[in-house]
Amino acid sequence: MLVLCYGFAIRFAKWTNQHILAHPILITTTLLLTLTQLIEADVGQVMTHLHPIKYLLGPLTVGLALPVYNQFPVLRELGIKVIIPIAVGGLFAPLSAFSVLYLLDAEPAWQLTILTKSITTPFAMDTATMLGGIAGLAAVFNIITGMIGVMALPSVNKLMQINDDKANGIVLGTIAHGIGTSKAVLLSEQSGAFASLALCVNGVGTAIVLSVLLG
Amino acid sequence: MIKRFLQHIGTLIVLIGAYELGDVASAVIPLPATINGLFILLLVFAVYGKVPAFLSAVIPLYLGHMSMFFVPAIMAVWLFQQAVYDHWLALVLALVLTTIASMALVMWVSSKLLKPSPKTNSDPTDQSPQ
Repeated sequence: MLVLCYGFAIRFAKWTNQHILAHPILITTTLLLTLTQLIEADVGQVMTHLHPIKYLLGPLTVGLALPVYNQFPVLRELGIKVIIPIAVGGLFAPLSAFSVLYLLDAEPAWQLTILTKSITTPFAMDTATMLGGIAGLAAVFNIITGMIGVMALPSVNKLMQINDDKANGIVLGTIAHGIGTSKAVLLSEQSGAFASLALCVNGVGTAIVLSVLLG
Repeated sequence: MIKRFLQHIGTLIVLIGAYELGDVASAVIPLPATINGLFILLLVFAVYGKVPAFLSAVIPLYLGHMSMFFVPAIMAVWLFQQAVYDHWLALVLALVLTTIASMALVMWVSSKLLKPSPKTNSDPTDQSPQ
């Protein structure tokens, strides 16, 4: 059922000429949720049945090693210059979101959960739990951030008057993690590689910071 | 047809294998299975000297459709809809604004440090000579 919804979503996206709101993820999810409601099934149960698909996300993300390897000469040449923007984003994104919730006096559990919004989804859920946040909510914040990243990219390009494969890749991988990376891969191999690298560096950096904080 | 099928099976075995190895490694190296697995696969490519042909053929196809595999996790949003409605303003500010601000910042820093790539046709499926 999921594959059918997705197939439809792809065609719909082409038909609407890749309109921002017509991202396959949104269409597929909306369709699936609507169908679930129509046949009066339980969303939780449907999610359980989709577990094999959810599992495969892990191995598929491993496949990002391909664009990274192909772009390795470029990445090696740039060295620390690539790491700096990732580190900047990797710190600014969670801290700014945390500050907003802190200033608005949101529940502490939410404040802690939102710190994981820009790292890869499965890791975000585990990390949120370790910090004292809520795993399911972490997934929600995480996914919303990913979607915003993908949808807002053209606007940010226009705002900053920058539209370069490397910069786009780093932005998508650092801020919008896996969802952003899957978009970056579609833009070009170079942006896909940079996004994959950003995803890894952000993940590694976060793990190190956490071991220091919690260890 | 058979060759294509075998390429897919081979790719799935490699990807799942690397992922599971990454999961095992997570017990020792405090990183998620995905990231460990990615490094393991990179190591394999480095040692082998190149990417095996069947992986080059199939992986880009999978990566292009990665969106579909996020859908089950995204359905979790539905389960939290009440909480999202109650706190919509805080979430708009905390998620939307900070994400866009972060993106702008990272984009600016990236463009200052990295030379823009020459403007070539960046369509990965384009086979025409450059």
